[in-house]
Amino acid sequence: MTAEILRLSGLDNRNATLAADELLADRVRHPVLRRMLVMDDAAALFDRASVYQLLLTSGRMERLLCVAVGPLVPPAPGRGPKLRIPPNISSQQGSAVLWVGDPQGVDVSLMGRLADGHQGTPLSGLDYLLEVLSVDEVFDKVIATLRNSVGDGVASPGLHLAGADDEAVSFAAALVLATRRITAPGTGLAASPEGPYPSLLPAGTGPVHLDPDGELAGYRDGVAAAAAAAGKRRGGLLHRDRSDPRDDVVAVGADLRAMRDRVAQLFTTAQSTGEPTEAQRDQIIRAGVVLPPAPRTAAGSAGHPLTAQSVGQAAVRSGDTLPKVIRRLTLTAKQLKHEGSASHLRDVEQACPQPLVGRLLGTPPRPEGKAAADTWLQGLGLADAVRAAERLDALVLEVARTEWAVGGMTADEVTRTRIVLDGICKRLTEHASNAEPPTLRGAQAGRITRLSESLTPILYDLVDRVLATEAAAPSPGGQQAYDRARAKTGDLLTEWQAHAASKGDIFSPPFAATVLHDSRMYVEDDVAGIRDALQHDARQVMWQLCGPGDLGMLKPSEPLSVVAFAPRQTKEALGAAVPQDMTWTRSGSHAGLLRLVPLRPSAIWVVWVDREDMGEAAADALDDVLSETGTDPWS
Amino acid sequence: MSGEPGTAAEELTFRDAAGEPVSVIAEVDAAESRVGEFLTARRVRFNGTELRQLRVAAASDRRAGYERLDNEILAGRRLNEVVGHDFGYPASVSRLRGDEAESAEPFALLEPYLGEPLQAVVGTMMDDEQREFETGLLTGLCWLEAAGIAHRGLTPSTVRWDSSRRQAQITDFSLCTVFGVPREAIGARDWVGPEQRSGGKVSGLVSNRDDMNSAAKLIYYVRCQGEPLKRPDLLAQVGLAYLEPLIAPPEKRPTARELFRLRQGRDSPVPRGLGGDGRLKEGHAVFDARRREKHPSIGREQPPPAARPAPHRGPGTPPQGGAGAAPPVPADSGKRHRWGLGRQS
Repeated sequence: MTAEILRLSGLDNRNATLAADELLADRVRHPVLRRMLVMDDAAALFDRASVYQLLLTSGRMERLLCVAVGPLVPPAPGRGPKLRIPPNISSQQGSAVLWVGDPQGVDVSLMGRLADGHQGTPLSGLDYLLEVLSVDEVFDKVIATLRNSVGDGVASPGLHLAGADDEAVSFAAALVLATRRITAPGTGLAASPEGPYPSLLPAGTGPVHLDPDGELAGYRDGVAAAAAAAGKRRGGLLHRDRSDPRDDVVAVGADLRAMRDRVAQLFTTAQSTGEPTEAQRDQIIRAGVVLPPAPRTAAGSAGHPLTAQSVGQAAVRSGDTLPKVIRRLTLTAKQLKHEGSASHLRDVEQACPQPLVGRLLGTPPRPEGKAAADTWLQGLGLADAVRAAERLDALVLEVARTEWAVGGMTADEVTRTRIVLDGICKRLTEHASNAEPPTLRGAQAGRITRLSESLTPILYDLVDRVLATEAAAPSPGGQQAYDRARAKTGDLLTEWQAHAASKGDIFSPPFAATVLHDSRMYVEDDVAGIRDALQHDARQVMWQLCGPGDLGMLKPSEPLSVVAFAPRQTKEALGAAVPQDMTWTRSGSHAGLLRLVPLRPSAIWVVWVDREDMGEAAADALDDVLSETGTDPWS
Repeated sequence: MSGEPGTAAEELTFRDAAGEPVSVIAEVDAAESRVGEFLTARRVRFNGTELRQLRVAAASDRRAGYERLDNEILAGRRLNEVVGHDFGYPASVSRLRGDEAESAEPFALLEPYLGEPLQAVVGTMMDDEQREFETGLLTGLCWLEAAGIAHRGLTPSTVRWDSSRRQAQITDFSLCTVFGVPREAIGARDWVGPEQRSGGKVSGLVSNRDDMNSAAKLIYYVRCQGEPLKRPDLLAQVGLAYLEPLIAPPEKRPTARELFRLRQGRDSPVPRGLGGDGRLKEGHAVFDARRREKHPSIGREQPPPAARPAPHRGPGTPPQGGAGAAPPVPADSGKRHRWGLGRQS
C-alpha cells in the first residue's frame, strides 16, 4: 500500500475540485485513500480551501500531505512573498505542507551561501520527492516530523538518495524465481536417485512359504508320493511287483486335481487389489500358506509411519524439484500395483493343464504285453504331474509374495499424493508464467536470487499445507484432488502476496510453519551506497528543492529535522551504522535522507479568518512582528 | 433463440434416433472444433437440449469425410437398434440422437461426450478410477461386440473418462466397421493391433477380438498413468500379465465378454443374444440395402431379411426398395468399407 497522489498543479479551482471529486468517487481503482499526497501550486494554495475541505471531509482520508510547488508570491503589491495556506491543511489540523520552490532544486549546504545546480539525475527533484513520499513509512514519518518538530508544519525538502530495491518488486521477482526453481523439469539441486522411493515399497519378499503340514503342501506331497509309488510298481511290473500301478496313477491325478482346484478357489476368494482382509488372510493361512505376521509399514526417523505424503514432502525439502518427485511417485505407484490373486487364474491353467489331470484320472488299465505296457508307461505322465504340482507350489508362493504379503502402502495413496503435487506444480508454474519476467542484472540479480532462496522454505510450507489439506479431507476422485490442490495453491499464493502487501512481511504468511525473520538478500557490498547515504551529514550539501532565490525563505534550525530511510531488507546488512531514528520501508526504490528545513514564519500565512475580516496588511504586519530575525546565513 | 454471442439461429432437419423426421430452429455455435482429419464438431441447442453436431470439414477430402461421417451415423444407429427400448442406453458408448445422412451437407447429432479424453485426465485418475475405467471400457466393448461393430480407432483421444460419474466412454466411430469384413490398414499405428497396422501384414476378417489389442494398450496406459505400452513384457511388471493374451494374434485374444468375466468373476451386464433378434437383423438389412444402393459393387454381409423402407437419399437418387428387392451381388473381395451410406460426392 502506498500513498495516493492527487495532482492539482496547473488546474483552476473548478477543475481541481473535479479532479478531487473523481478521485474520491473512484473506489475501484483507488480503494484506499488513507494517505493522500496532494501536489498543488504554491501560488494557488490558499484558494483551494474548498477542495481540501472536500478531501478532508470525504471520510476516506486519514492524513494529508501537501506538496506546494512553485515560487511564493506576494499577497499584495509591496508585500513580501508568502506561502498562504488554507487553515484546513495546517499543522494544527494534522496535515503538513512541503514547499518545493523549484522542482529542479539546487545543491546547497546549510552552512554555505552558494547554491549549485544539481546534475546527473534523469528525473527532477520533485519526481524523486514524490516517489519517496509515496512510501507509507516515509509519508507517516514526514508528517509526524513536520507536526512535531517543524514549527508551522511547513518545510522545504532536501534529498540525499541512494538507489535501493523496491521490496514489493523484489518479493514478486524472488517468488517467481523460487517458483521456477521448484517447478523446473530437471532434477533440482539434490543429487538424489531417480526411480521409485524404496521406503514406500514392500520391504522384500518376506518369509512366505507353504506350511509343510498344510493343505496345499499335503496335495503337493501326495502327488509326489503317489507318483513315486506308481514308479515302484512300474519297476515291479517289469521285474518284481506284478500289481497294477493304475490306482496310484489315478491317485496322482486326484491329488493334482484337488490341488489345482484348491489353488484356483484360493486365488478367487482371496482376490484383493490391496492388502487382504482379515477373513482373506485366514483363508490363505488355512490353505497352508505362511504369510508374514503383520503388514510391513516402514517407519520414518521420528518413528511415525511413513506415508506417501511425508516422503513427498521430505523429497521436496531435500531439493528435488516437484516434477522429479512426481516422476518418482509415479514409478513407485507402478510398483505397488496389485491386480489381485484372481488375475493369476490363467497361470493356474498354465501350471497345471486340465488335459494332464484328465489323462491321469482316465488312465486305462495296464495292457498286456511288454511293448504295449511300455507305451502305456510312457503315456502316464507321472513326471509331468510332479512338475505341475511343483509349478502350482511356486505359483502360490509368487502370488503370496506379490499379492497377499503386501504392506500398508497402496498405489492409491501414492497416486493421490502424486496428483496433489501435480496440481500444486501446475498452479505454481502458471504463477511463474503469468508474472512479468524479471530483468535482473548485476548486484540486484544476486540480491533477488538470495531472497528467492530465503523464500524457498516458505514455498515448501505451502506445498505441505496443500498436501495436508487433501490428507485431512480426501477428495472423492483424482480430478477433484487435482483441481482442489491447484485452487488451494492459488489461494495460498494470493494470501502470501496480500500478507506481504498489507503487513510488509514476506516471510511469515499465515500458512508458513518456517520461522524466518529476515533474508540473506543483502550482503555488505550491496548496502555500501545506502550506508554512505544514511551517514551523510545533513548539514552538508544536499539537493534542496528550491531555487537559489528561495533560500532566504528558509530558516534552518537545530536540531535539524531529518528523515533517514532505507528498505527493511537492508537492516541486517547495514548493521548498527545507521541513524538512530531510522525509518525502515517495505516498498520504494530509494534509501537516504530527507532534510526538512523550516520556512521562516514570515513566509507562511495560515489564514484563520476571511480576508474581509482581516486585512492582509495587518496580517503581514503581525507576521513580521512575530517572525524572528535570526542571523543564519540564508536570512 | 436467445442469440448468445458466438451463436446463430439455424434450421436443422434430420431424423431422430427412432427414424422420425424432425425440423427445429437451433442455436448453433459459430466456433467449430476439428475432429480428426475430415470432420468438424460444433455445439447446437434446441428445445433445451444440447447436442454435438458432426459435419464433414469444409476443406477436406469430401469422400473421406462422408465415409467417416457415415461410419459414425451407422454405428450410432446400430447401437440404438441393439439397445432398443429394452435397456437404458449404455453410458460407455457415445450416443447418436439424430442424423441427416442424405444431403450433400450431412451431419450427425450426438449427445455431448462424457468427461474428457483420456490423454487429458490420465494423470489425475486414482487407482480405483483406473480399475473402474477398465470395467467401463470392457463394458463398452461388450456393447460394440453385441452390435457387431469393431471400433478400430481406440486411442486416448477417442476414449474418455468422466471422473465425477466414474464412467468410461468410447467415442468417435468414424473408423469403425462391422465384423466379418476384410481388414484394412487403419487407425493410429501405435494403438491398433498388427493386423490392421499400416506397413504390416493386413489380412483376415475383422472380428470381435480386433479391438482387444487396443484395449490392452489403453488399460496399461491408464494403469501406468499415461505411459504407452512399449513392450508386451512390461505388462507383467505392473501386474497386468492377464492382458498379455490381448497382445497375441487376433484369433488367440479373448473377447471383451471373456475378459470381463475373467476380471470381474461375473458375466458382462450386456445381455447375450442381441445380435440374433429381428431388430438387429433388420438393421443389418437396412444398412446393406443402403450400401448396395450407392455402392452396388459391395457385397452383403449376411442374408438380408425383409427390411423396413429406408429414407430417400437425395436428389437424383431413386427411392430404395426393401433389401430383398436388391439384386444379389458377389462377395466383396477388396478392402473397401462395407456399410457406407454412400453419397454422391
